[in-house]
Amino acid sequence: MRRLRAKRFSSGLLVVLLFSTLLTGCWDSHELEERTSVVALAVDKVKSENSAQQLIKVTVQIPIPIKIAGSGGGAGEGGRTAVRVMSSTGLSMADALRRLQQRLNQELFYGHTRVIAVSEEVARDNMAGIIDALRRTPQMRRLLWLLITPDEAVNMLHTDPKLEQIPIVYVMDLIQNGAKQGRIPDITLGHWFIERSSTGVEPSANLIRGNDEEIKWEGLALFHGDQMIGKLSENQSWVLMNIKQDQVGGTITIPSPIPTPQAGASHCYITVRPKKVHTKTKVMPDGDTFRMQSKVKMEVDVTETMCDIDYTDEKSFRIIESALTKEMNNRAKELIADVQGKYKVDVFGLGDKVRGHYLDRYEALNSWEDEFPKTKLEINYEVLIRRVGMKMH
Amino acid sequence: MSNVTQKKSTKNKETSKYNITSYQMTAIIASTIIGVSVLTLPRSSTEKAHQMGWISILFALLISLLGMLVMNKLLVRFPGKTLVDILAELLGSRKKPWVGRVLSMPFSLIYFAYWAWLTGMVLRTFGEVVVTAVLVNTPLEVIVLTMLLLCFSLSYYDVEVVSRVNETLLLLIVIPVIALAVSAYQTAHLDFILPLFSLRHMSGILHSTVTAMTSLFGFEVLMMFNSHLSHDRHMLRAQLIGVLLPGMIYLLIVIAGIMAFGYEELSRQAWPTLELVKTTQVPGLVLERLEAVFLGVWVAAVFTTAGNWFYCANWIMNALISRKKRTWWSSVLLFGTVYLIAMTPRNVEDLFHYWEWIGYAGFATTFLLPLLFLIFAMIRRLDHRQQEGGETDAQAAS
Repeated sequence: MRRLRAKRFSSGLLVVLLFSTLLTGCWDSHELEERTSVVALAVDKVKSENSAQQLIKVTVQIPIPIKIAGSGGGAGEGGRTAVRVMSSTGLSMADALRRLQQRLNQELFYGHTRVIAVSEEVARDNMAGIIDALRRTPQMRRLLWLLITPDEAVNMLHTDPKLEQIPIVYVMDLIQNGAKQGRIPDITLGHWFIERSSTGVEPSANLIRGNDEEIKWEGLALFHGDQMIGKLSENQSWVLMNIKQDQVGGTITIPSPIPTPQAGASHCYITVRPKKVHTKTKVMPDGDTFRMQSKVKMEVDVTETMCDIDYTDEKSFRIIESALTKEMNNRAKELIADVQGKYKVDVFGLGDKVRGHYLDRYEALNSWEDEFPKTKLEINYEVLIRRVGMKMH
Repeated sequence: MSNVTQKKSTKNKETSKYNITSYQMTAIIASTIIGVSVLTLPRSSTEKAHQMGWISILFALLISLLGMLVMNKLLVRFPGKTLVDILAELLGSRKKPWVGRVLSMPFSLIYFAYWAWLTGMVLRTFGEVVVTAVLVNTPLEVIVLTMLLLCFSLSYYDVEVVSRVNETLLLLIVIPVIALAVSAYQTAHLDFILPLFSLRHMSGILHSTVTAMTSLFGFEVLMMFNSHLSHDRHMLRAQLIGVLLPGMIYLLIVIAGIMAFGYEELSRQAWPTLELVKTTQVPGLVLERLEAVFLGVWVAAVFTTAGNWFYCANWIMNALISRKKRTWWSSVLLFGTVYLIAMTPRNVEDLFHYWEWIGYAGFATTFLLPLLFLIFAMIRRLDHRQQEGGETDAQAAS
């Protein structure tokens, strides 16, 4: 009987002890209203007031829950009044965020951060510190958008496009929908990390300008390591997207190659929308160096022709197709000239391909960085018109 | 009074041996193997082998299957016996049983130390992940202690309960992990895994194979559970599947990791599988952030790993002091020991260093020693198959 009691006691004790596991959440228990959710971060550079030292200025956008429609208290407002934008400066990003925390009643929470905007000035200097801070923070999502702004990044957080309650959601949706439709490259923070780590490719990031009420995608920022070194225009970025991710890019407008007897023929433009892109990229050794051949097959729909073109005639298709092909090949040449000639960074990921197929030769190289400018790049477009819309001629 | 009789009946059950079913066998092996290393494997396997890291997993899997085969051959000869009894018989003579007991003591102690140490390291790794990634403000000690408490409570139950726990949790672990690993292929990049094979990296692959083996340790718990095994035809197959299942999961995760990140990115990540889960979005799923699901599943995986090892350490300790019934204080003693072991590493880097040593120790306990025992048993012609199982067992083993 005594043994039984002892056993009962010990099992009871065990139950009590097991209940203590329920306490574990206590250190980290934070109710939703007990934390300050950061939806967007902006990183700028400022001069210190009393010394020549450069300081990092971090700005956060924090939504005010009570002012968002649908929440219990009061009618929802929106735009700039629904968020609070706060800035703080420090020696490093972590330092700036710590100083910011001193001024807040609740703990900062980055689990909902969707956009990180970095000003071009900071990016051109060095991003290493910022990237390191982002990598170390477990709350940061890898799927958030990393943006480079040509002017101050703070402006991005101050813009109010008025169409969304939380202004930064507008930016987020703009990129997300653009990426879905293939107009804007799908470059998340995680994507940037991967390209930064790999020696066979150099990272690029979306360049977005935000002023007052306007947000606009302006192309890509090119990086060499952690340092931004150049920009690609919209047209160049689309060619890059065609090659790298099979994404379609934006619409193409060219002057009509078919002479029309009509008046004002000089203003006759044809606009086509790419529907499908299929790229075959091959790398092969070429003497001491390598050659990349990209064959881009692009299927387009005609969306607008400003003058009468007879689409019942097979010939007009051929003529427009060859004009479009020429236009795209020219854009590709511009891209190659900038990337290989001017900036000397391998945004194509050619190095990864060479490493994949010619590992021995790749490892015999000094560094891919030095080799890339010597490689021969060829991009050949083949544009096919598939449909002309609801109107024949 | 009825309570007492009920207690009696369970006690009878304990003495009349419970036989582990073949599915439970698979479950015990597989869920012991799948543990903390899932999180670090994509990094550790590609560290030296680069993009060919998955080949080292394949090699490690093949070697482990071979190890499993050796262990099966050894255990089949001693049905119904645990490691301690097997060793006593192997090393002793029939006339003087105490010789075997004394000679086998160091070997048994090695296994005890190994299992206790492993449990401590698993718990510490678990704690480190939870503290860095999820519960940032919670003290490490609390997380380690709560998990240890679970292992501790498991150690008071008999083998039947342990088998059933493993049986229940296996599917709970395997299905979500496979689903997550497969959905991670959305972001896959073929260039990152090419070339599939290159002789230039052979030394790197072999080096990584040793690391990958560490993550496939765990089937040596069989040497204790052997006392409740009936070696029929299906047992060997169940055991091999038990090793194959985690091996395939590892392969899936490592390939997904390499293809999604590339080995250079993997080398920068502390817990690559967690990052892999972070980049994965399953369309149509309610939860946008899958980390929570994954970590939940992973807690179960860690529990079955640490729990089984803790159980075995406790078991062998009791067998060593030749108690028929398990004592209550051995678990308490082990609880303290394991906690102290878990608190030994100074930091994460130190912890990974300890894991390296576990790799060497595990190689001895899982592969070398069983092989030695088998050879010894073959030389001494020790084989109890005829007595218990009859002819069918002999056929199955051949």
